[in-house]
Amino acid sequence: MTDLPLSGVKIVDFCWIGAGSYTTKLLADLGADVIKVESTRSLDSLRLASPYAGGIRGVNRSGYFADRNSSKRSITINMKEPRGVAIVHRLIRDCDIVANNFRPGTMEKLGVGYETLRHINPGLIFIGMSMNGDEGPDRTMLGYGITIAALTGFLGLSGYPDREPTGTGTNYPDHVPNPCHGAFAIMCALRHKARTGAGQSIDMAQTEPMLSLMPIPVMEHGANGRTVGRTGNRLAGYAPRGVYPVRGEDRWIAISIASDTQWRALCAVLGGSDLGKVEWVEEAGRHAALDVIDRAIAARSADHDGYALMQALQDRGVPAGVVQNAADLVDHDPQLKHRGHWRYLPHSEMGNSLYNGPPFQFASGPIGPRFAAPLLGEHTVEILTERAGLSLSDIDDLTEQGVLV
Amino acid sequence: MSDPTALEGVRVLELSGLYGAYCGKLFADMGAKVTLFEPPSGSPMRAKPPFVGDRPGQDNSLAFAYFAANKQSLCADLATPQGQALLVQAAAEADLLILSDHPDAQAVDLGTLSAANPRLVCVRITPYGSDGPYGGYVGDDLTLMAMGGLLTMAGFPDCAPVVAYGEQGLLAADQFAAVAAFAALLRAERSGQGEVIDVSIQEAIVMALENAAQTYQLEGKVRQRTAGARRAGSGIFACKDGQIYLLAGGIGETAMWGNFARWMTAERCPGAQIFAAADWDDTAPGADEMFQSVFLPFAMGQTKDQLYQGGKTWGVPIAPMSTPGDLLGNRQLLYRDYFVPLPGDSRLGGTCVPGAPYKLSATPWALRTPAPALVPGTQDGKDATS
Repeated sequence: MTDLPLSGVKIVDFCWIGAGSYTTKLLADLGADVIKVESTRSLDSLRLASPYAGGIRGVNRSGYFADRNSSKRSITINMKEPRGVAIVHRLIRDCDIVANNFRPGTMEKLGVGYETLRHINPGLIFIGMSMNGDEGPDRTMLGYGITIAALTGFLGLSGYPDREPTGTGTNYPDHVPNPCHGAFAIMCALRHKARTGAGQSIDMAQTEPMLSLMPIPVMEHGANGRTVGRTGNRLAGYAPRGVYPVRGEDRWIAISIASDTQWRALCAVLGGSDLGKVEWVEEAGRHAALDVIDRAIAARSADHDGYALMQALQDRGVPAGVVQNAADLVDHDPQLKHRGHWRYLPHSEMGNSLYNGPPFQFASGPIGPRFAAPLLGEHTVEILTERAGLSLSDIDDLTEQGVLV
Repeated sequence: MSDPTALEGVRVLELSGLYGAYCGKLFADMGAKVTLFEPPSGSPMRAKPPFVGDRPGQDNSLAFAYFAANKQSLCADLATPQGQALLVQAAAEADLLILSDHPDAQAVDLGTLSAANPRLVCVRITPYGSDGPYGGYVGDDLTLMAMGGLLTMAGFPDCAPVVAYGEQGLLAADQFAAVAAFAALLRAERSGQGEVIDVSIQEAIVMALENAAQTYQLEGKVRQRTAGARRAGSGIFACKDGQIYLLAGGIGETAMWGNFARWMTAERCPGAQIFAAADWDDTAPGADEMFQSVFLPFAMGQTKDQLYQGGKTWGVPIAPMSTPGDLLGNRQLLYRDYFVPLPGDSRLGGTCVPGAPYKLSATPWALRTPAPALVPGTQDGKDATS
């Protein structure tokens, strides 16, 4: 039995909603002990975000919340009560990391700002993940994934050139860029702490990881004096590259051609004379006729079954993929099944419900969500007896007095 | 110069192609010594457009200049015994090996390299994972975004789905690979135990589906693309000098309509009081038209930045639809010194690129050296970076 990579790492987690909770979930799934500090007085609003188990609304029933909070324990503490703050300070005294994604200043108001906590725990790693960061004229701005997508230009650059931008249809920065960068930054600080004993603070503005993932627009502006625009599904280096209809209601296949060999293979699979023009044999000729080519491919692909066409193209080394929806992925995708991507974890209110496993596998053994998301305050007694030295009667009294709620 | 780095002493060997490079960059920028193992013809990313001055050339790719900065280059032909010997030697001295679509990836035997260096962490990134029914499939960003389920939610219902800007699916895999590899590296430093990690790009994209998988499992609903279906007060709106994105109602339980109504009232916008009323329903028929009749005349008299500042003052989520020029002049990003010039005296030296994605107080991010030159025939290209 080998240790999980982050076993022994202790996190006190004030994150809520999207990116923050996903960050600490990544660390929890890798073995860190994450205590989620919550309160019935001020709920993590993701607890009341659909979907709900059985379609029935409830603070312990959201599938969205569950997926973002696997492998964590939950404690309820009223941070408006000085005794609640004192208890949290006790938990923080021997933890490694305190995480939050509030606007700057909120943690200070709650009595858990970095300056206070570093005196309680000099080796502490403290991360704040607000929209615009701890400092600067726009630091107080309220942000969501979609407004971050707009501000960074990601939304404006995603879509067809002749229509309004469409983005991903989701709050993309919340789900990959910010959680992964947050987790990476925390691990940098953990390594520094392991080597020197020193803690530090991390200021991560949620706009900045997204911008770090799209360098070309600013570089084109600076180096070539050019303003890049939307290009739909097309991309330099490919001709053609698009999404084409296949048989069925609203079914599509994506095909990307990066070489003349792949083009010939596509023509052979789709058949017909309209694609076989001599002037399209080489990439330059195809570049000049992308609109016509896209229409010609669409006219042929529409008669094919998507998965059969994908297989035929893949057999010839052509990148092709069916546009899969959630039902395809959860019920049918044989590759995700092979890799055990979907995990069903038992939960006392939700039953066996669906979680993402990680997109990575470790040769040494299983990795991923260790247990289902916590009920609100499920671990209050366990954590406070184990980590804060409170007795059961103390806990009863403090609950009755509105401190542990 | 005297700042300590978080990853001092960490040695990374990167065998990448058109993806995998951002994984290495995350380590390099925090102080690891990252060596890009290039074939004699150079990394495929050196040939990736766009180029400075639109002229292809080994040192002219904008993407290569950004993703390979802070790295060193080691040029070797893995089809030869000498090249293999070089790889074995480099892997024996490395802490982490990143393997993605390097042109000679087939010639890299992770099992042998791991056996020779039991502390080594290897992370391998492939389109669908290294085995299984789709293990042999090829993929680029578009086809993987399709198979990973993100594409189906993007675009208008009346035409084909449309992929997000910037090959984000490939970059998603790089990011998850970095997280997994770093966790394994921390364990290796603690216990001496190495690891072999297998990353699927398709699966990295599945991580981005928001609540779509759970919505299907728990409520039986399949999320589709919905661009253009507007809830009043949410979406892209025109203003005096461009467009803004407004989320007047907020998300979920967070009520922002009161804040929005107070803002519009303060701006003497006629008719704004209805948005604060208890019976205001932003999904009701006609609500969108009512909203636009109040907001648009006001917005058309304001710049993106004025509207953004108004939202900041009144607690309403709103953001400019920024152009690259806007970003380079954004006061918040300027204050934080976010964009930094590429070092070096090449044609791209001095070009502004994205900087620190996070600010660590004791061990800051830093851009130190430009992307390395390709020096074929040399065993170690690091001298070429100076």
